[in-house]
Amino acid sequence: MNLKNMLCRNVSGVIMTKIEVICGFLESGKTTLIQHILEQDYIEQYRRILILQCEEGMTEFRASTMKNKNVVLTQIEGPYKIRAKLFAKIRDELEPDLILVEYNGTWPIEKLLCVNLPVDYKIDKILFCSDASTFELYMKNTGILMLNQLNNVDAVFFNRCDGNFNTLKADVKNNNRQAELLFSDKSADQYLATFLKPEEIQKENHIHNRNRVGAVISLVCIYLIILAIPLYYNAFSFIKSANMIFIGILMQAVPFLLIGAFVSAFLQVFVPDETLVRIFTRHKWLGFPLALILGFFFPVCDCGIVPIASRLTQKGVPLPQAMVFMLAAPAMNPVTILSTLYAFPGQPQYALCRIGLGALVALLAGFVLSVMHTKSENVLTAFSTATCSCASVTSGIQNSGMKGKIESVFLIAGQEFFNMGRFIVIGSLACSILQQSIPVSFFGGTGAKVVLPIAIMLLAAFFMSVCSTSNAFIGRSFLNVFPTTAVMGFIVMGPMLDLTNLFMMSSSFKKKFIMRLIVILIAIAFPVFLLFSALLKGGTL
Amino acid sequence: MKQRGNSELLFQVVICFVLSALFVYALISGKASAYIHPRLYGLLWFAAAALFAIAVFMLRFAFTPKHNARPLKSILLIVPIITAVIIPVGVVQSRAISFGTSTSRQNASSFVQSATSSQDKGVVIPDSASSEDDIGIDISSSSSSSSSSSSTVPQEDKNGVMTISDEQFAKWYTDINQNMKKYEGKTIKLKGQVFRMSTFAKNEIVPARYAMVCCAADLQPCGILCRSDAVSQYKDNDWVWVTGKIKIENYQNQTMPVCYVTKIEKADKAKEDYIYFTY
Repeated sequence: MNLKNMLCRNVSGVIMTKIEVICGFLESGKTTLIQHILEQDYIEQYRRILILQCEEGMTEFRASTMKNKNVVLTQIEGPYKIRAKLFAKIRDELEPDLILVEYNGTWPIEKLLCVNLPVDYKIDKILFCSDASTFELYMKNTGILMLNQLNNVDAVFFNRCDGNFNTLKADVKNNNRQAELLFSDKSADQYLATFLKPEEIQKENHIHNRNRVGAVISLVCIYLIILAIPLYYNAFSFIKSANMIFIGILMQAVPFLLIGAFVSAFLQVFVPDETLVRIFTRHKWLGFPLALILGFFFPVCDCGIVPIASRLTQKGVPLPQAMVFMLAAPAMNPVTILSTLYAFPGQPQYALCRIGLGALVALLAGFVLSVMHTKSENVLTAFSTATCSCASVTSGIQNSGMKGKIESVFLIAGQEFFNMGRFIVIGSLACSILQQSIPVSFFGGTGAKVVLPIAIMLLAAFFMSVCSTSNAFIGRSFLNVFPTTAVMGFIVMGPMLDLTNLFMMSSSFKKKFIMRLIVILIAIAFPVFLLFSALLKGGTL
Repeated sequence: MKQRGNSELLFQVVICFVLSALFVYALISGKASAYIHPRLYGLLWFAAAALFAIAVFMLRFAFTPKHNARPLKSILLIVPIITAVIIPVGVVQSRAISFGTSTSRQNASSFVQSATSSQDKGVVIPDSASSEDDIGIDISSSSSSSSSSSSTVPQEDKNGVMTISDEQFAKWYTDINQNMKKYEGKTIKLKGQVFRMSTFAKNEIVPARYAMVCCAADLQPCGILCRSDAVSQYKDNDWVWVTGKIKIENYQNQTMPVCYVTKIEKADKAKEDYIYFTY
């Protein structure tokens, strides 16, 4: 008893009453779960347990098998009853130290979250119970109702599982990345113990406290470092230089990223999945040229094309076509074509070669992917950016006409921006530091041969991650050191294989697939550019 | 007390507003020119507006409580905000120079790219730049010609000196590399920052201007090779006025214009840190 009191105190020494919420639809096994909890050995350490039942369960509680003899059951008839008064009354009359809420699956969870709880009451965990066999059915048909609860839960407990974990996993993770997934009674028991078993709670608290101390220390360190920068001002011109590049890349990328996010959100809200898929799959091979041509109509920088391509894949457009679109769009982009024309004044053949080679490499990559029968389901991460990850935000407005739709476009675009934003920050940071620390001479010095310069230029393109609209100018400056083919390789492959883009892709595609794509692209690029240089016979364009 | 609302979303709203405000500030104060090409300003305005709109729309939902909100989800986006605010605008230093753009149909495209040993001598140039370049410009050629014909190729004045104003540098640079012959034997006067590479002889410098094509990541020094014994007294990155005669020479296997300096003197830094190629 003594031990318990010690554990449930919060920092200020007040004994906390924990509220555990178990939600889910009728017959999802909520009552059974609560009964199961009450049958655990550790439950006897609680002084008084209150069960708030928000609906009449099919199963009855059996007091005989409960380990704690001081369990009170209260029924709540309607959502209007859930308010501050209810908890104040509970506090005064019952003084429980654990409240288990069996929450009605059709009541919005905010109802409970908004309640002004007494100071020493806190909502600890929210669990979601579901019958594995009917989960997907409910997911499709109840829409917002279920998503609303699912978005707020800490764990999902699946009953009656029969092995098909992956779809369930994807469904949950799409909406709630943090949620713990419990497929078996054993894992559920372990999870329950972490927050209900007093000994475990103590352990958790210890870890928590240690983490907190660690976080504070590291924050202080970062703060000191930041303070130190202006002091060593001139010595740190490297940092300043890198920062200029870092911010520069971000400032030019953010607008394009936003355009991409808006196009992607627009596709999500206004274009039904079937239409897009039909367009791309009407004919077996027609999808590829279509993907190429589409690239021309998306005047988006390569950083904006990644969210669009991910969206297309998620919508069900076959992966090869979506990849052709992603790879070719930067080369077909009218802005890029224009910049190439400017970079090589009076030499339109460079722009033509760029388009031709870009399309060729993209098509070959698409062809390889389709021959390999790579399926979209296997390459998208379970929690890919946006299938409905924004549902938590948009759930309230999905059905409310044009105004609501426009609102969702903005909200989804915002979510997309934040999802991709993280990766573009990492990418441009890495790229700015690399660009400042690897001297250009590293890439220079080797001119004559054919294979090595191409490899070096591809490497340079990969690490420099310059925008497709400007890399023609950078490539141009390499013309004297490297043969034309290698520079062409730099210009064409740069937007396809670059660090920033790969980081961004990793937000929606599996790492394994990205690795495979890199290998495919390199495997294609070498023969193509070797052939190209053979055709030129070493001459310039 | 209990936290109300969705801290995750609220945090994102704040980031959107701050980013939007920073963009607008950079645009209005003109600091954006140190990071990106002015042609991208429109896009940046768009980005600021879009972020603002997104923040406004999100704000509406930021007060619906969420149980397991993770406000730190978007913490990475703070990094650029912090570095942008804390680390002031500096100058990106390049280590290599490329001479000239390709000479149209000449087969040997004239490019040199090699590395200097001195890397990253980032110099702090104060923001309070003098707006007038008063040294060494006679009124006739500076104020009148640069204002009226800022985008055109410079012409010779009555003394036979071709003065290249700051605004004309980009145009002139493109022109001299495309039509070298036109400039042969002419006397030019131009301003730039002293730039040296390890391969240079003692009497060689390039009075270079840093050119931005897209953003700060692709800054490149642009200029022509100058020879004079007097150059050694100027340090790297000093601003100088250089007057000299153009000769076409073969330098490291490429034909390019070389300026034989008759006069070199200290100059104030140009109003704009960089030059921008426009098309």
